[in-house]
Amino acid sequence: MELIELKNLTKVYTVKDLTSMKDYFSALLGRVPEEKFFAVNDVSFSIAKGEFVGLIGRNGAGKSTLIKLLTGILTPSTGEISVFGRIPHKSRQQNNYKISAVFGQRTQLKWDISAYESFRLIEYMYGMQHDRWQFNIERFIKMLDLSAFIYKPVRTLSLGQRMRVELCAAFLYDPEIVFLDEPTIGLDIFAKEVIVDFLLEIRRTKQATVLLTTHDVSDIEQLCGRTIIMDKGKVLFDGNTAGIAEILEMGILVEFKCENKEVSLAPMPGKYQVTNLPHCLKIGGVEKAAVPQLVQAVMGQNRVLEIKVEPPDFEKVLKDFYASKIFRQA
Amino acid sequence: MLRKFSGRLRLRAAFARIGFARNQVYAIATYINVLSAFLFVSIQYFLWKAVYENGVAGTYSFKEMLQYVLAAEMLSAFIHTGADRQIGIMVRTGSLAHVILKPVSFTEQIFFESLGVNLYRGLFVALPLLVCSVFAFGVEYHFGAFTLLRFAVLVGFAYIFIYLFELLLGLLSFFSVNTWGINSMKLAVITIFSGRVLPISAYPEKLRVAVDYLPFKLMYFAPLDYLIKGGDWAEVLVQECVWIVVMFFSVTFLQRALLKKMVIQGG
Repeated sequence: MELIELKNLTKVYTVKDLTSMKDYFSALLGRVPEEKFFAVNDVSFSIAKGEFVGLIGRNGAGKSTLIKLLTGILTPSTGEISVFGRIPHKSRQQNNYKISAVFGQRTQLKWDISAYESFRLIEYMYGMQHDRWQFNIERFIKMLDLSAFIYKPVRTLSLGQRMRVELCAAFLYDPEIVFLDEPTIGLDIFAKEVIVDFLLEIRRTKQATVLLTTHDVSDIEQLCGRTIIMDKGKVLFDGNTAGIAEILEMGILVEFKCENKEVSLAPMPGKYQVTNLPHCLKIGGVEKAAVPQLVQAVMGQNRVLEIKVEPPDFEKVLKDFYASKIFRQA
Repeated sequence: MLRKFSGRLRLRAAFARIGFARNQVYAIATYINVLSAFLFVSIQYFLWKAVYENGVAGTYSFKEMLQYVLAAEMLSAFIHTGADRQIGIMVRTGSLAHVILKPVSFTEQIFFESLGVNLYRGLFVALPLLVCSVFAFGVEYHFGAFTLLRFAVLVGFAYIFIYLFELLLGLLSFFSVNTWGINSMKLAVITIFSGRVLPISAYPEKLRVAVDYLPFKLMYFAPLDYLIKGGDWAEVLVQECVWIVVMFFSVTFLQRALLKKMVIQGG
């Protein structure tokens, strides 16, 4: 049994449909038009110990709902779900000893007092050995550079600082599963770098399993070996992060700037998207292996001034994905 | 086993310490608290002075009324756990998600943190208030040690009752996401039925009988009346225990029902 297992998981909400003034009055009388909303729709996957999985989706795709189901905050409508071999909402407090979560816009730390006080609370709450707590604190202070503000009230910290103490709190008691929900949202590049480096180090040394939800694809590319894409409550894609573009046949974009106005290209085997512009030739959808051959061919027929080779644009990949609703399993 | 027990104890003490520290940070707020409490007592002093010059209110003498007013004000500083308010805030800001992710039940977290908060308020609001009022109005306090002890026990049980009551209100706020209506009701109930403002024995006969059946008098009037007027201590204690049990089951039932339906705001 894997660490996390989902089978045909579904969560349905009935939402009141208040579109006109008339509906508000009907609501007072108890008769309200309702709509069924499938926040999570027939989702199945499993996550093994030590994996760093990225979860991507538009707003309202069902990512947060999925995390709440995994942490036992919500109960499923239908389907099976197991975390540590137990049902989350039934064994919530038992599982909670080994789980932590970082929600991008909220903090688990007490607002009016220092982060350090909250860390001490964590020591008692999770029954940590004092030596282990001390060890982790010192380690994280160094890794996240917390020494300057760890004793200041959390209320006075900037977003970047708050996120760093938040991460410290999240990993402090050596949880086995960590849910990161938009941990880098609103952060500047430097703060982001500190956090990404921290997570990379965690990935390198520990056996913590991380589920990272984010809109930031660069985070996913750097941290997650596996990506799950969701939309409208369904899983659209579940597989290797690196392999996404290849599987979708997005291919590499090669751009040639030439001296001659008309850039000629002999017909080549394979399907490419060719765009002809004055002094310029753009070829998309090229396989990695075919690039040298292509370059040779074009250079042979034209006076090439500049060559640009671009890997596939992940954002564009996603856009096409949502548009075409392709369902792929790696 | 013992280690586990002491671990829990330390955790609860840690919560209480945090509640205490949380208020310690706001020193000016504390001063203002004491000041406004003192003002409120002063207003009531002059009010009752005027009233008693023209007659008697209920079965209390002027001196006793003064004691009642001061004691009620002191109690109000530290017997409210604010559980309903805390839950309301958690629901609105969505920080409920984090509280639920802890391996400790959130009712436990709230209870012990409020204990710390109220310890702070008892020491730094109620005590200064007592000192100021005794000096300003010459309120006499000459209760026997045993009386005070039994009074303390009654207050302790009343505290538990109030905690459960506020917890119930807090849980009800899950049904209506805005807590304003529930808050208004709470304020009305406490003002009228608990004896917060004046002893219930001063109420007209018919109302007094009705209020006697409600549990809210246990919050202020019952303990205070015992302290000032004496009476059957055990009877009050029994009533408190009964209502605590009722509240406990109501809370547990509501909690289970709500846990299933829970919708957490915000993403």
